[in-house]
Amino acid sequence: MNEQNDSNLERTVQTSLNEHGSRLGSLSGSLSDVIARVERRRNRRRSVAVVGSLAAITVGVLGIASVSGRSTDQLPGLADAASDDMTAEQATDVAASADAWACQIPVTVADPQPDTQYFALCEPHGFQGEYPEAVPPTTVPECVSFVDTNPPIATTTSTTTTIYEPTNLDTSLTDPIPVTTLWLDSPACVYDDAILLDPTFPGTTLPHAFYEVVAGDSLAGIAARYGVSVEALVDLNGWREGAGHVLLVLDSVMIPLQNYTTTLLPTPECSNLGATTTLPNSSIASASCSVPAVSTTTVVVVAP
Amino acid sequence: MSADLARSDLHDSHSAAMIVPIIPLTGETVAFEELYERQYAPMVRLAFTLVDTQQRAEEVVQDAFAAIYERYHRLDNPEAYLRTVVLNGCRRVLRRRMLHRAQPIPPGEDGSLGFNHVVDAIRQLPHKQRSMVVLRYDLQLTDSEIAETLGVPLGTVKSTLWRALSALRQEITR
Repeated sequence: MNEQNDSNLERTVQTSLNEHGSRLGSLSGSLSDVIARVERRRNRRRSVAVVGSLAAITVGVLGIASVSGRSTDQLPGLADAASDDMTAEQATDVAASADAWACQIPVTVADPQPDTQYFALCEPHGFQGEYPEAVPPTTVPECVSFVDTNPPIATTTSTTTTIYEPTNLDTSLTDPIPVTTLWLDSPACVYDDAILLDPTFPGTTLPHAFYEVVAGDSLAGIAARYGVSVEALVDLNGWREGAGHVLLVLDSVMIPLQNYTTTLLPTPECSNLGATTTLPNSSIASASCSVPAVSTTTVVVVAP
Repeated sequence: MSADLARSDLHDSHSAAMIVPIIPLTGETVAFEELYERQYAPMVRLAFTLVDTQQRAEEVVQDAFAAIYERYHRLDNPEAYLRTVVLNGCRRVLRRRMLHRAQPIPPGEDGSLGFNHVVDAIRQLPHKQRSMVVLRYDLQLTDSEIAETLGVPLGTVKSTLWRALSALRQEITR
């Protein structure tokens, strides 16, 4: 390859990029859009933290209940342990003012009413209303409330093994896709790098989490930290170089997570998202849904 | 942070209009605005090279700015960091597109498919090569600026660019 050829090629590349760039229309984004996105990221992080702890609690109770063959409300001690910060009455009060809230995650309350399922709700994007007064401010995190639904929605595990991506997001995708290709960072669930797996947060796992590489990381180190094999990382991320893949700072590494279950509950707010998935031997999990222009929240799943 | 504090903080941010920065206006916020003014258009162009549609490109760049907003004061080189976040955002879009298979390329605003053989070949390159090519030929960065952006040695930039050009040559002359 001589220098003449090199510079010709470079000119070709340059020209092509210029030509492509000239197709750009006038830009529509503004700084205020960025600020709005910052706000949404913060809200999502709050939701994840809150939902993570709630999901862990719920899993514990429902898991034991299923083993013993009794319903949760027959295990008052456990129910008390699961949630001592809100009564069913308070939850019902909150429900009346929570219409606009979209995402729902099954939770357990201290004194459940028969045939009633309780959900945690995450606040919609851009929520500007007042927070329901019925929520005790010192015990319930700011972005979560409780509501009962009637009729109740089952939260028992199932054996379905496919999942649908929310169809209101990606119009090209209507077939069920294997759960291993579920992208939690799809716009409806968790967008881009907002959700990074936090290994220090117990009970928080995601079907695929993203880890952002920092200086000093190694492939083996990341694999060890998340309890997966290097091969699993290579497979999932599709690195051609295999275990010899070079990580760059700020790279996003997809982390495969095993033994989880996740449920997208068909609800009035999220009816177009419905589908369930459960891997064997998992206990329970949570819901994620998004109503266009209203809300986004996240899936948090707890391994058995 | 106590729940009370968190709640009042949240109330404040919600009651304010969305365009009001969440962080109080300080020197760093102003600098962030400057960065936005200076870099938004070049970053959209960079993303546009990689992700096909202007809308998606702007989304990626908006998200990148949002991502660096909160850690802005901790960044030694915000521009380099921003470029990297944009490149990673584009990579996610490309990867998702691969997973979803055969997504048609949306037509441009003039109705054309806007197919550009060279740009298409650039998109097929491995992430590192692709990033370096667009940083060099789209943003006109020097080798050392690319090295700083991607956190790799200068020699790596040179060799990777060389490999990228070789691959492009093969693809273009095929």
